[in-house]
Amino acid sequence: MKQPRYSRLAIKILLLILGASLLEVLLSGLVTQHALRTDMQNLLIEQQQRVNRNAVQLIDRELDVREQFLNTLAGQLALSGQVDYAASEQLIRSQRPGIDGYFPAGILILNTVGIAVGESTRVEGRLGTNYADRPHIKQALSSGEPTISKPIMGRTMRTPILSISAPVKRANGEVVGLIAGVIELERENLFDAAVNLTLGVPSRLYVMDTTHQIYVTSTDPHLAMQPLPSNEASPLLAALRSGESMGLLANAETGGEDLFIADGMPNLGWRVVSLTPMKQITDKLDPILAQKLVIGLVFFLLLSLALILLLRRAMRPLSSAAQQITEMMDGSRPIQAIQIDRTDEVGYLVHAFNQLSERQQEQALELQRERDLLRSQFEQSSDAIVLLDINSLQILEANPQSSRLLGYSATNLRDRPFTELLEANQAPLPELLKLAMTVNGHSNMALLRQFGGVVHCEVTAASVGLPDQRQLMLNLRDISERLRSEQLKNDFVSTVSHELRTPLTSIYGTLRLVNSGVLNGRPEQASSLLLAAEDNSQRLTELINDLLDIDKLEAGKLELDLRPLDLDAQLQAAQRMLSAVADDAGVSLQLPAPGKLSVQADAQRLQQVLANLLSNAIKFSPPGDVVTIEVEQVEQYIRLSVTDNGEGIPLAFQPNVFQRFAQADATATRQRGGTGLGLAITRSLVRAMNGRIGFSSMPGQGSCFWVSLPKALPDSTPAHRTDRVPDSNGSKAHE
Amino acid sequence: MNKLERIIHIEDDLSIQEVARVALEIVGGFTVKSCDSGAQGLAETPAFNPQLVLLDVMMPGMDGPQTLTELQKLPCMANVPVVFMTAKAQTQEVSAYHQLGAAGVIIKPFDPMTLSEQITEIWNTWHEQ
Repeated sequence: MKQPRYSRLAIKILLLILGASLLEVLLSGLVTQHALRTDMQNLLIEQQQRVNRNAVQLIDRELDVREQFLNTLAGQLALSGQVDYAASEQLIRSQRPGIDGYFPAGILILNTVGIAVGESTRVEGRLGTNYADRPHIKQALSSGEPTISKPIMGRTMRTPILSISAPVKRANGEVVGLIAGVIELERENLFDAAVNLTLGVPSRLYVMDTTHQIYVTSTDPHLAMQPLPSNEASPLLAALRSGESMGLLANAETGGEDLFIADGMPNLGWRVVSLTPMKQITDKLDPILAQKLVIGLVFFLLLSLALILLLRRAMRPLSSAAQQITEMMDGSRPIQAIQIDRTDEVGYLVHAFNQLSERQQEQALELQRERDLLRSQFEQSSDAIVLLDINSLQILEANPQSSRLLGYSATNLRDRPFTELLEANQAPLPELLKLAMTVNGHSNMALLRQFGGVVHCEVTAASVGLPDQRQLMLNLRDISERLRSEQLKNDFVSTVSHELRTPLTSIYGTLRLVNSGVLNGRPEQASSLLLAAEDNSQRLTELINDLLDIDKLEAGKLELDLRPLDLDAQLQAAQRMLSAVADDAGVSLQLPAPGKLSVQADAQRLQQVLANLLSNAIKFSPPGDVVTIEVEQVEQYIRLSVTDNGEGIPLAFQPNVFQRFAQADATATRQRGGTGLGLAITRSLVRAMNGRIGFSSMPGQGSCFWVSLPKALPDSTPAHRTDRVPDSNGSKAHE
Repeated sequence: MNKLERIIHIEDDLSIQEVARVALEIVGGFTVKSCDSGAQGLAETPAFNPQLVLLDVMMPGMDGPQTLTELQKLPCMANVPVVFMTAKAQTQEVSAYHQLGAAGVIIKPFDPMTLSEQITEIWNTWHEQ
């Protein structure tokens, strides 16, 4: 048998758990990464929205502060009454720190017609230049309200600028001049704070004048005054122009995406747009994920180690138990309970195995016991038992009684088709077997013995064995003896019936004829018939007496008075009783010389025996012949023999001489008289008196019947009780 | 069909033979030939030319069935019924007699006053068939 690999289970469990753990680590990493990425993205969007709004507020506030400052200057200039070079110089001198702080590129003071009359920073050719053609100057002068210009090219500075104009108004509202603050867009300016509002993320910020389709400023100041690119050239502008205020754009340079967020400054017609590369997020995520992966792997390794140790510990007793079971199976270890000190499932399993093993052993013993019992029943059964193959009906096994019954040896019976044993002229075997298998049923079969002869059996059959190996078990009970005895009984009844009816026929017929008056006038015929009827009545009486004797003898109810009897007296009594019969037959009886012998017997029954033997001898002797009686002592027995010289007994009949109603000539009864029961009764009587009876005979040369009876006991006195010699009852025994 | 007149009776028991003779001759008016044995019956039959044979079963020498078999070989027995008269009359025995070819079975003891009627009835039935 191949040795199973017990480590496989542990490895399977280990692989399963570790695989599941690894999968968990990877899956949780993926989920975390996805969640983190989404969270970071949302955070970034929120942050950038905030940054963008802050930038807008910052720009707004800076512009507002500068506009207020210019209004303050305008107010002071209005108080001086005249907007001219002197007033401007004075104002600039007095306000120099504020002017340099808010407007590093300087301020320009224009008179009421738009001619420059003062400047904080000297630019050649600017004073005296008329700026009234500039739309925002013209608007401020005419409306009397402050204005902020669009980005414009400085006329004298030749750089892109932004101009904030504050009209100088008298108390009555008359505009007498204008102060314009210049913000140089390409230099450090009021947008710097806004542009640098990126919270560490390298975003870019664009301030666009959408009205005039130019950049106001950006993280890159050189973009100031540059026209906004076309939709084709810039996906960002295309998105903004289609009305989107937030979204992602593919970035061909980084291969990733950029987040854009736009806020409007409607009063100026500007848009503040921030653009942040998303790669920044993933760049920040990767280390987090790597760290988590490392932690996961370390945990995984530790788990693996712990699992291996635990499993080895857990599997060791299981392996040990399996090893013990294997050794029990191959016989190298006696079958016994497996010893294990565990209370877990392994202990439970081993305990269950031990119980199973114990029960199995008990069952095996029980089976063995039953098998032995069945085997001994099979071997010792007084019925013959044979096992047949259910299909071929060949004998598989036969018990010793089968051999005795059929004469074959067990080896000779094996493999023999059962049909071969069946005598001809019976129903086919399958039909007989079918009948034999019926509940409470049986079939009778006549079976052939090996060396001739037939044995009659009552057969019952049952199907036995495993479903795929069905066998037929036949129980063969020898009923030959029973059949013989039934036949004998039937014959006896038939014979008795015949023997009773025959004399009755004569008696009844005669009486009926006489009574009917048919024989009136025929007295001789009537007399002859009545004499015959009388003889037949006598015969009927004898027959009935004999039958009663037979019945008593067979039932063991005959009471015998066994005592010492003087043999000479007994023989003389018998001679007296039969002298008339002998005379009629012309036969003489010859007794032995007195011998003073005595036998232990019943006097009446001894006379019956002697009368029977003597009357038979007389009956079969020719007239003028002599029947001889001889006596001799053989050890403790007295042997009496009666010899005649008659026709003798045919050899074929000799075995049946002592059978009831057996007569050499079946109808001799009518010729010789007698009931046909005499010798049967005689033998039973002799046996009842502890004696034996036998004969020798040759056909044509006469017969010799002998009786051997126990000698009388020495201390007892022989009784000379000839008075007890039977009367008419004793004469019944003759044949 | 002729009238039944001649009957041979084969019976070894002389008292029964006598009762039957009186019953058949005096009561029935038949002519009866009594024989003591089968052999005698066989010998007498051709000369007597019986119209019916009444046959005992248990007889010394040739018994009833043997006698029947021999009788059947006689030309004069071609159309003569044989009736068994016996004390061995168990069911299977009676059916055996019929199988042998007996025209009827009369069971002993029989009633001599009605024996002739019984025999006539068997005779009639035999000839009707």
